Amino acid sequence: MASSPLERRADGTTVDELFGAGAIDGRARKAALGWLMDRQGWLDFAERFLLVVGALCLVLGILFFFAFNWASLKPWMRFALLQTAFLGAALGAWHRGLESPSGQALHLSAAVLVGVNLAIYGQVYQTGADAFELFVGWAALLVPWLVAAPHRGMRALWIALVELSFLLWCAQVAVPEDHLSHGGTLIAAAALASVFLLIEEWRFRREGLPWIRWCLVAMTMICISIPALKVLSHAGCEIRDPAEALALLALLAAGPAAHLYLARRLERLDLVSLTLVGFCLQLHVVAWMGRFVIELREALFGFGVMTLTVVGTTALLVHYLRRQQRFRAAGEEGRP
Amino acid sequence: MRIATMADLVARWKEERFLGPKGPEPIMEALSKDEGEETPWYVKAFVVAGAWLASLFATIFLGMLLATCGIDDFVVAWLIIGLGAIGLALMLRRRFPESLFATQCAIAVSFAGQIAFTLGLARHLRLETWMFLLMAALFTTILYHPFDDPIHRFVGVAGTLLFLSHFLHHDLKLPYALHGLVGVTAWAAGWLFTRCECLHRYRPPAYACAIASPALIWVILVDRKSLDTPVWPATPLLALGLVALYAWVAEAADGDRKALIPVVLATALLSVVSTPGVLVALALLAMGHGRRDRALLTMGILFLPLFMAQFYFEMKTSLLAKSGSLVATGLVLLGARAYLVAYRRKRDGARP
Repeated sequence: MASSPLERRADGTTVDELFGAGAIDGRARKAALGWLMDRQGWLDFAERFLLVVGALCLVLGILFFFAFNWASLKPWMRFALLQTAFLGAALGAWHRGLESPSGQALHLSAAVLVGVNLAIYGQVYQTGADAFELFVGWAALLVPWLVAAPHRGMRALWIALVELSFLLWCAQVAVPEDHLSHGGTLIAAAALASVFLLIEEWRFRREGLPWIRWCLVAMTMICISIPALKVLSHAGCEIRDPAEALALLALLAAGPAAHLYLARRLERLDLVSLTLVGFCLQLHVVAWMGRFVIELREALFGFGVMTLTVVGTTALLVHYLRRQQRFRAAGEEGRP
Repeated sequence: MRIATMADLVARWKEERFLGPKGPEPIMEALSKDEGEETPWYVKAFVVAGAWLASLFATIFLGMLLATCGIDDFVVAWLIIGLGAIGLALMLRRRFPESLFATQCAIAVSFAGQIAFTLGLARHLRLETWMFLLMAALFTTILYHPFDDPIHRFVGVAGTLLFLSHFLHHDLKLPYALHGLVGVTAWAAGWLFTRCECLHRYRPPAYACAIASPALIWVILVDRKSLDTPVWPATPLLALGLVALYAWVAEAADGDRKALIPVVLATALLSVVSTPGVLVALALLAMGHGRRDRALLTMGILFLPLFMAQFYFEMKTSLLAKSGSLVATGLVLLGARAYLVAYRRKRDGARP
């Protein structure tokens, strides 16, 4: 956010707004719109556009070429192709260094190609392995890579692989063999995401844009909400099976994470995470109220109550979030 | 000097003596008014969702209340609900102009009221598209100035265009008129964004036209078998529009008009070999870059790969031919970039 209005990005919309407010005249508006379109800027734009679209077409063309010839390629050719790409990416990452963004991008590409290699291995030799085994193997192979260079892309890939392996294991083994219910699967996935969230908070809390945290908070909230809303929609809220017990465990795991956010709010308050958690809470309150209203069997009264509930919870939450925002702004101003 | 922030712009205005006797004071005042307490977009999104949900419940509640109050005549009930809701929305908007929640509630209630009124009237007369089109156009025009909210204005114009396209195709059975509508909306957006001096008043219709044009092309492309219309008729209109846009760029950026010749030729070639959607996406990108408008740029960035993917997907050739044409396109574009880089180096080197 710009701290002074003059630090705001100059654009045509702002110029038009100033003209509309009478702060500048038509001549100044026309001149400003011309200055915004400087020759240098257009040439930079054309250069960037041609590079991005041209490179994209070229890469897609090459991919289409291999897709066309894939069936007729011999297995050794397929492996040679993939492993050449893998080696190229790995060497490129080594050459650029793992501190640079391009090095990290190449490192991540090589990590993705490990999985593609495993998939092709399974396709060529028909190993008969379940899909979750591929992802477990892939995640296991990437552990040393993660330890060597735990940059954000690599961490996000690894967390995604572990979560996916777990969900696939549940779908292919645990649920069919009655070890877990569908609700229990989601709750366990939420608990796993909460554990990753805690590790992220503990190890990498000072990193710039915390999008891994946002993804993990969103995933935890979605996974908790689906079974919780299911419980709410049925009569009685008692704990009936291990899935609900696990829900409590997952909530317990998410609790310390929430505590960590709040404890550090003076240092760096995360309004995005708070909004996500708040939205989830509102959803539960509205669902609970909805169930109460349905049980009353008074539609007219019900819609009135629902209107007030949504207005009330939204107003309350927005009031709280705005207070937190002001609190953060005051904290940032006080900081040297 | 490259203009990046408002401070740069104010300095340039000062330097070129464009500012009045009060200097930059009115500008600072106008900019500070907007600044206020900036709510993050995700909190705004949360408020918007809450407001629309609350309005939905409130509208159903009102409808049920009227139904239980013993008003037997269905039409009268819906007309009363409709007008009452529009009045309530206007009152909310006027009473709480700064409140985001109240504004969103007002928008939702206003549209609920418009729908209720139109349904009541349509049931009384005849349920036909022209009725919805007429009412949407009427409400958009009547409420445009009293209800001064950009979302309300945008949805009003976009809804009217939607009914208009449906009316042209399904009621009048004039599929070619859709191409005309594509051209008209594209030219209207172009004129509003590049030539209109009152854009601050008509920005919502400008965005509605800017999004309607590629959306209509997409509908024609996807549904052209049932529409029984080819894709090409919109192309000349759009190619001409793109050329007019180049002229605007050259005029505003004080550029070399000779440089326009290869660009115009490339556009002509593109309009022959490609789909009209690519032309609209390019126009959106050019306008977005020229005005530094993120919304237009985002639309261009989203529509360009969409239309390109659709074009290659629909090519009735083998994967090998598609691959060849993609590689050729990529090489031509990269070649053009190499030429541009060399030209800039030569020009910068020649400059003292």
